[in-house]
Amino acid sequence: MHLSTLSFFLLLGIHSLFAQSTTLSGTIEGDGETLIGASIRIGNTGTTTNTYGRYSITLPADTYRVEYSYIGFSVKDTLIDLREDDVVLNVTLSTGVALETVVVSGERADRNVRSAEMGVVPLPLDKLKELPALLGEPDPLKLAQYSPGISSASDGSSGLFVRGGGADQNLVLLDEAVVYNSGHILGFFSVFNPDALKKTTIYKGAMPANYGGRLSSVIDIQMKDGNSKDWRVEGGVGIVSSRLTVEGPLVEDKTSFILSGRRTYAYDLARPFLNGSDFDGTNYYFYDLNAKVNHKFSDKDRLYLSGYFGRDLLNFASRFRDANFGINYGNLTGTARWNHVINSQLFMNASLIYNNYDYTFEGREFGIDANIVSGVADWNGKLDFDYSFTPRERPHNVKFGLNFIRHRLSPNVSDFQSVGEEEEINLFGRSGIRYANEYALYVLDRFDLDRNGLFSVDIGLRATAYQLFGPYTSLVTETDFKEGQIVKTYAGLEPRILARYVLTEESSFKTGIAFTNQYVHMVTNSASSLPLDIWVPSTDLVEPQRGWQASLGYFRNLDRNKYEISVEGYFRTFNNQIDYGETYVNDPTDELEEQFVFGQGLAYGLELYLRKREGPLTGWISYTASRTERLFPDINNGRPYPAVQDRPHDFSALMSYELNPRWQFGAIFVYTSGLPITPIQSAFITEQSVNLLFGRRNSARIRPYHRLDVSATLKPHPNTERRFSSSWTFAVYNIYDNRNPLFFYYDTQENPITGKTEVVGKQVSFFPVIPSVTWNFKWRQKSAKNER
Amino acid sequence: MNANLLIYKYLVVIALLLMLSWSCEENFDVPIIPGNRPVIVVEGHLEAYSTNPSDLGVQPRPAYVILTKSVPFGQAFDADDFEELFVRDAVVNITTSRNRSIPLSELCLNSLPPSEREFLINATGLNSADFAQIGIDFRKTDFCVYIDLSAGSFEIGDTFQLNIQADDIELTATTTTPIFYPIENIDFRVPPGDTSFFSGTTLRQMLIQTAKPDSLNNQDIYFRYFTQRNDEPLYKGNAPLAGFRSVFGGKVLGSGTESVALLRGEARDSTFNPGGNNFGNFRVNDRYLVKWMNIDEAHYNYWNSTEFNALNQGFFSSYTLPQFNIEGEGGIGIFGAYTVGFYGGRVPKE
Repeated sequence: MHLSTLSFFLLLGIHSLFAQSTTLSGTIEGDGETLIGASIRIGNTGTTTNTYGRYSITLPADTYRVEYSYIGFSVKDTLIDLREDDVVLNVTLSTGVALETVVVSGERADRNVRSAEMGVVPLPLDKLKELPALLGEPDPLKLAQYSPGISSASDGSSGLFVRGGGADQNLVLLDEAVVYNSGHILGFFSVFNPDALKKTTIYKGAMPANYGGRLSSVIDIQMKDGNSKDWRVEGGVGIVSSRLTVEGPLVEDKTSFILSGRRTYAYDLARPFLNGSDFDGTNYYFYDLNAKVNHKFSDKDRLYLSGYFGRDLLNFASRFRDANFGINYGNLTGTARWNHVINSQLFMNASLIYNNYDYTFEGREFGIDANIVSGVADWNGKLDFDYSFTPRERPHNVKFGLNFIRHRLSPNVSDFQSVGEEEEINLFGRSGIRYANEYALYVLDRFDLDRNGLFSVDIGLRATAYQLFGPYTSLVTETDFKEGQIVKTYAGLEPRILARYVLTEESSFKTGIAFTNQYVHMVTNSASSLPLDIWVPSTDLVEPQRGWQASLGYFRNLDRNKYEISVEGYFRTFNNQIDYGETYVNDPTDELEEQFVFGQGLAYGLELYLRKREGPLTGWISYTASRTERLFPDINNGRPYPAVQDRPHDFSALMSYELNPRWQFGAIFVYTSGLPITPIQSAFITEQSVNLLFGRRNSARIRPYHRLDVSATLKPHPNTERRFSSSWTFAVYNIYDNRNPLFFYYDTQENPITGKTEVVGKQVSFFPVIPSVTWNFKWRQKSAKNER
Repeated sequence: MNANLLIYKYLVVIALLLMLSWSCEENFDVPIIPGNRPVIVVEGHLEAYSTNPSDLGVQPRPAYVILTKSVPFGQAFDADDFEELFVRDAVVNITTSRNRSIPLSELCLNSLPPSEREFLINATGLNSADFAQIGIDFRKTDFCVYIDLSAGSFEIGDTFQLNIQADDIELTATTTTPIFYPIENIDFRVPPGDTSFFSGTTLRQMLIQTAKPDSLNNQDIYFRYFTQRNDEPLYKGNAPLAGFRSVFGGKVLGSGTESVALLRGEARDSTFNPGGNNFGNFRVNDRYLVKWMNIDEAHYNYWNSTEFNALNQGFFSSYTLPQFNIEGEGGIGIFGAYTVGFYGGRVPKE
């Protein structure tokens, strides 16, 4: 706290050195919501709004023409007199319908060229519902998989591998709260209900210094605040689930809220058919609930309270046997944020966040009761500042802050009991709640190095520390640490630098390097993301994951920003990676950490991206050529091998075509290299069973993955000013029914022709051609005409 | 019951049901690793008895070693090919820690008279049902074994050294007959579950209690078991807490004084179905035999890794490498000793 106070006065002091400057600040809103990442352009310089729609830019005293713009809204040009006093200007952008100057797509048409950021993927959530989706469930994380450098963990999975990183190396944030498991039903659906989301941004390259705690990427998802102008109801009915969202002003322009829910019902529909069967009582469903309320106390103070609660609930019952299982897992997040404008240049946000991910398994079979609990719960306190100032006529946008996280991890707490005649008797169990603290301080500055704004940099430094506390028994020293006793301390410095040089009005070079540390880790024994993957803390045996990534890119826009082209190359390393040993056998009586082995990795690749942003036909084509390797002394005889994330070729094409106002068509095509697998070297027989000897890890591949999805969206009453509107989306997933493997295994079988026994590889595909239909609707209190 | 395994199993069930049985399974061509030379596979077996097996009419097993060659992936085999896998004319010897040297002699089924053939089949625990799962009728093959014709008995607590000279390759291994922790009590109950379903049933689930010292924290005690029902062969057990493997560490038995369900071993052929209603149960009046064994850690690791690998591939698990205790270039496998106790009787109605 002392440090933040010191920083505060330091910045106020800097401010006084540039007293000849004046500041333009305010918020930008549109359609009843604050706008994140809206562009403020002033000649060769400019800035963007932060997470709360707030902007601030300090300039030499003068008169300026300022251009405000944001996706789907009309551009607003204003002449502002900054010759004497600071100006606070809150801007409301109008939706583009029937207005002359319209930004059809993109925050600012040339932002991809002008911004120093690289490796940033803003997801077009507005297009999501019109694109084909698995079982008609629009999913922002799956949309991300069609971007260069990002691939799916497995067929149908919403898990992401970003530039060779593992699924746990993505920092998934929902209103700043960490979501440790972002998947429902084996990861086939993500936990994010698109109706409740305002903006989703993925940082796959050098993440800004205000983010940390993960090695690979940041997926920053912001929920809508709740419309401050009018009441709205939005929803959708699909073949496996339905969604409903209600939002509106509790006090117009002061207090608004949003409440959004989603629930699956496929099994509820099937239950009557299970009655009386061996599976009577079996059910599985998931639900999500998003809620948010915000209150504007004044132009300087605003409070946000938001939360997410989602669960997967499985009850498996077999009435004819002593077999009952219940699995209950999900995330709970709660975020309280207070925005305070200290002065026109200095903005503060204080956040108190709680997030919890847990899974519980309770089961009984063969006279044995099992209870297993695993999860992570964090208390997270953050203080973030935005400060703008302009020395030597070059605006600086400084962010600095601090962060404290208290982790409570239960990697795998289990309890097994034998069901006796009269009582249950404890057999064995595994405890091991872990407590750890994570601390971070960061500062970053975005500024131009020259007056023409050709050369700009984004320099940041994040200092982190981590402490594990007892109770804990060290597997290294066999020391017993008591509750609250410090077991191990780690620290790390994470410099982050991005630089951009503008070659022409429509092209630029960018480069960046970022160092990252990760103190909590997910360990998995599968190629996908599963609820049973466990989170473990760094200990004296498990060291923090550390890595760095360097990237270089060329960005060019064509035809007055109608087309966007980029070429990005990257190289990155991963240290202290964790995996299970090659002789790992899942046994609940074993010490978990003893099963781990440690190694390192690297990844490199080249990403090509072509996007068409305007016109009836929009979309993008992306191609990534990359390699991802791991090197573990205890795996593959210490030789490097392709990681499960390795996809040498990854191609995606996504397009949306508006035939007329009533009909819109979408298509997605994906082609990626086959998953690496470990081939069988030979088979041998002992005790009348065939056993397998494996070759080098991941030295073979299954066949390439490819799929085409198509959709057609019908808007029965387009361009009307009705308060109620709806659309039908008809989609076909995997239209040519390519049997893409979800997983494979080996089996022995008799060849019907030769009569000989042979060991064969088997692949299992889950998703053949799947048609779906979804009805989406919207109701708004005021018609579009009245709003204008 | 290995809970994680069961969670996986039922998640798969649910996912499959959810996908309305859309999933599809088909063969795929796995690349053949070039230049892959066969290795010698050792399956060595030695038993020391805590009680006299003959008391329950069980024939004691002599020490034996089966030597075969591995089959390169992609190469199909039938009974004729299987016959070719046997390593012949090897010199096999076991030395005890008491400096007793036991040479093993090579015997092949085709060269034996019928009565000795049955002796050899029983001595090596061969059964048709398990062989059927790999498409082989072993009675039609010239099955070869290196066996201790002296049928000498072995001491509990001894260490044994195996030496093999075959095809210009020398292989060695060491194993022990560990301390025996007996079953103290065997009981039967109606399988827990839906009482209306099990009302009047003759199905019975076996419960056992063992004497196992807590002071060892049960870390270094390893068990394996087989069961026999009526005139069926001895089948390796399916310990639910160990993920239906036949081996488990002592921890899964708790402190040893509790009753723990012990599932009947079943043939691992197409009828093997842990989700079946009758899986692992006996019937009233069945004759039962439990072969209860303590094994050392290396021995446990071999069966634990191979049986786990056989049951855990695919979406939920990476591969697991088998752990061998055979030393020497060009050889893999297990030379494992058992300390054995037998328990038998008839399944009571009450």
